[in-house]
Amino acid sequence: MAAANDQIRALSEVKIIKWKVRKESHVFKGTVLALYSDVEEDKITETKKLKATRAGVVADISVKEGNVAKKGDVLLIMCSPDDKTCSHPTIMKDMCAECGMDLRENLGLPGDRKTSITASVAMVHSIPELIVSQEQAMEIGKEDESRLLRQRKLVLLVDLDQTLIHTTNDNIPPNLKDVKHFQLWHGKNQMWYHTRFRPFTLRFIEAVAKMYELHICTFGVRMYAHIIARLLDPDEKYFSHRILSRDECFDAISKTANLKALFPCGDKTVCIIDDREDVWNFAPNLVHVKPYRFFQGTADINAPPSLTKKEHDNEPLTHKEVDSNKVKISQENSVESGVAAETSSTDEKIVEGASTRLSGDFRTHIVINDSPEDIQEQLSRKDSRSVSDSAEPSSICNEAGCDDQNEDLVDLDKTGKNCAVVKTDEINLTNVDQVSSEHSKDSMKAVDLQQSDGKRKNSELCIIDKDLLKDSGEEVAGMKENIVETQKEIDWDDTDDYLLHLEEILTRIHTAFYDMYEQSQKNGSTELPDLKSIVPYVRKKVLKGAHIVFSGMVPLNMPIEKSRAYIVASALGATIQTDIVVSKTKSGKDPSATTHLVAAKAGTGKYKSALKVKGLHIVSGEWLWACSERWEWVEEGLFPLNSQSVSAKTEGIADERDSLAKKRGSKRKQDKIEQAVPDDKCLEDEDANEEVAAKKQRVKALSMESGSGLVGNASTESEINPIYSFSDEDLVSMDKEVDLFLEGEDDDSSDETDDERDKRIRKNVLGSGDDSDSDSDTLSGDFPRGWKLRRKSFNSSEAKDSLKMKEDRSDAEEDEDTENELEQYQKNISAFSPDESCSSNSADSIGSVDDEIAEAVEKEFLASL
Amino acid sequence: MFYHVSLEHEILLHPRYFGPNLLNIVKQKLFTEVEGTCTGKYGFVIAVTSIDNIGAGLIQPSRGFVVYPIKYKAIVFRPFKGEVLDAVVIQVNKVGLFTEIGPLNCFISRHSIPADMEFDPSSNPPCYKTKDEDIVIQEEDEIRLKIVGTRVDAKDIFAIGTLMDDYLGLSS
Repeated sequence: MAAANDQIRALSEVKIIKWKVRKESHVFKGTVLALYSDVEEDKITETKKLKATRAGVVADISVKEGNVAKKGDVLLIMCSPDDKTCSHPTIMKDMCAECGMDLRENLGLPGDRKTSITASVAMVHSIPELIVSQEQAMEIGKEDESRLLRQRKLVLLVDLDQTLIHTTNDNIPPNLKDVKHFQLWHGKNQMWYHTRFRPFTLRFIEAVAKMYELHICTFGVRMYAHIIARLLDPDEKYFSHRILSRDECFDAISKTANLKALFPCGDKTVCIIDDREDVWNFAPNLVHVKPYRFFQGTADINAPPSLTKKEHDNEPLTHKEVDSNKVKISQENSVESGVAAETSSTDEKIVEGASTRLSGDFRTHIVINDSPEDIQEQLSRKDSRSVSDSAEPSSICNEAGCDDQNEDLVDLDKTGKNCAVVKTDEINLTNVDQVSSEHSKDSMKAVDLQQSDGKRKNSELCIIDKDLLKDSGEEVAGMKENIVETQKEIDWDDTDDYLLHLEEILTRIHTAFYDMYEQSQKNGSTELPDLKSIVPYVRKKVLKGAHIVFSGMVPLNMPIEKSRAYIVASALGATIQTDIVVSKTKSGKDPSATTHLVAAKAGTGKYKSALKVKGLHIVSGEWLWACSERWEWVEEGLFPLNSQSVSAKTEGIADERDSLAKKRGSKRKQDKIEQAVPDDKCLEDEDANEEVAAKKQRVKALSMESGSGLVGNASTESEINPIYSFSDEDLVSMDKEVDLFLEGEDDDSSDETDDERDKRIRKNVLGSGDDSDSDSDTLSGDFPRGWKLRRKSFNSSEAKDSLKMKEDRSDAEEDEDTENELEQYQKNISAFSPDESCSSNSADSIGSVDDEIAEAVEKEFLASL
Repeated sequence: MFYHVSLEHEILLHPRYFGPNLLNIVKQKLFTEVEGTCTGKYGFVIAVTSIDNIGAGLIQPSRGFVVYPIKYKAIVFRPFKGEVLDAVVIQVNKVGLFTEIGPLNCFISRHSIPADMEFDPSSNPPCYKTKDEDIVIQEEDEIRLKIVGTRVDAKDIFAIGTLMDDYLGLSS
């Protein structure tokens, strides 16, 4: 039986040069304990090593480094390892990281430990298996804290989704500017994610990182969080490994649980920015961020399942395209709808061919040129092909390499790389312009152009001549089509500048904290100021001195203290008064006089009496919300409440009422039709298909009628809205009206061009509210490429099969939808049904030409291979 | 420690591969199924060196799949307590170091790092260093460590290491 304590004594007079162990460190037999040297008559001999004679734990070190111990002095006390002297303060995967002891039960599951252990705190964000004891955690936490104070920093927990970025899984145009695309495994299949940074994000991170140690705290899965972190911070200098994701969250719906583990010494220096207060349990040190939304129809894709925010999901977003696409191509060649469909289908085929052949050649610009009767030109075309072929590898080597034959993937892959190169595009376009102006019989020139283009890295121009005259003579007599598929970036203007305000807020909090800290240091107190009181304190200074009276802001049956307006205003430090207090002194310096009337509408009693008071600001509720968002005393003049705006608003409501009524009618109709459609689906014969097409056409007509802006939002229908509460008679009469309307509408609607449809669909999905006339856009050919590719499967095959394929496609579309809810379904239908009907229309009318072209193109590609 | 051992494995082959190329496919399949895997008993299978015997294929009744028993030799890597190995640092944090020894992950607690080295989170990347910055251990550095414990699961091995011994630490 080994003695509990084993004293290691000096055998002669020795000088300890260096201890190699410290208290409580675990040693094995032969482990070097110290470097020492014998001291013989004041002469120091060579360094020797003091080795442990058996395994154990250092209980105490008696002699300090550099001191001399006399013979027989106790150098160090060791205890035997059997005495549970290793308290296993750090445990990794149920193994003590100090002594290497296996603490797991034999054949037990992870977590089944033989002995109870002291370690319980998961201190490292991304490694939940690594736990340390409370004392260790406190020690480490203290070190962290003092380091932060030394560096004059605080801790900032940063949420990702809708705070710094907005991510969607929806199909979006692949060439949106500043949108990052990546794939993640989602069960068995990969899913595409499209992420847009909030404007000024990088600037914000850089500025804030000087004042705060940044941690990511997100409900996204680990891979997602890490990918986003790498996108935001490629050098790992801001976030490093401090990434907490859903996988490491202790609680599925709250992030607060992890705070204790990450900051064992308390969260006094922790500040949080998040767009949701509930996941932090409305913590006082949380700065509530205005949610960032860029993609329509998606809120926070990583919201905890039970807390998904629905309220804004269907709000239409309006993005205006920033006009970076100044070059409009082939505007002079007005394209008739049918031909447009036909030609675009051809070029899609080509794109498909090219992309599969080149596997990721994403910059194939296609000009359909004509006149192949001329053999010379056929030859030159071959030339051009070879040139383009020679140019292609240069772009392939752009790490594209994604051999995925799936068009969507290829398509998206293309975009990922496209983001960088707008300029070359524009150069290309000018070239294309030249081509189109001189294209008639001058394909040699085209070849020249192409050669010059081919030399440009990353930009090639593939010119394919195609004779359309042969079969479509009656449609476009002598007219040649130039369809230019361009890869332009769509640059939506994004006016969100919230991060600039947030940066200022955080700066204020930081300054306030360190002001307090220095003050308390002066007073000799070691107590740290707590951000949980500083954040509300800073917030309270925002509207300090304002005396606010609400009018029409609080529902009658609600106590004013519980209304959101009251809570927000008092959190901002304003004094809320129930009635207007007029300054009694003439100078108007009465401190209790009302300064603001926040009113929902004009014409209330308070509003009228406020009008009589000089110097009293009458503002709309927006003013208060703006103040609370920005933590700023916003200029009152920006949010006036005047009778005009109110009347405008009521008009707007009336309009909305109108359109909603229409929508409801059309929606009912649409539902009916949709019910009918699946029955027809099983029928293979042409007639039934035509019927389907016709019905879908009608649906489209309806949705057109009810205002294109509303089409995409058909699902808002499902939300409860008092306006929907029509009586049955109302609905019946509305239905009749719609039916009547339909009978007249059936024929005209087929005239809608492909491009209009494209635009509309894009609007449906992305909510681009730009409702300008279609011609300028349609003919420029600058709509997103993804949509064209999507359609290619419809048109590429024979007209007979095309309908069937469409059905399949729409089915597949629905299958892809993971949620598969009714809303989603309806959204899809309303988005895709017009598409189908229209393409079927075009396919029917010009099917033969389509076939011809498809065949010819196929031949060409085979030849070039 | 590395061993050259004889191992056995069964390959399940779909009937579509029946043809002149069958044995090649069986071999290919062996490589992909076996190399890089880990068993608790033998450790990580690093590479198949030779295929000694491909047994007679047995057609599974009512399925058509064929099972080939294969005897092969492979180089395996099995870590042991007390073994000294070279590792690459992959993550440095306040609790310790995470390292990789080929396929094996190994953690070194901060208490098993020499007492004179301290964690410096403010440098980029974070590192453990001595006061005079004589020795700096950061990500992607090569260090020599001693294994003090292994967690051997059915499909994975994890190790705990230490730097508290002679000639351990930054190897350069």
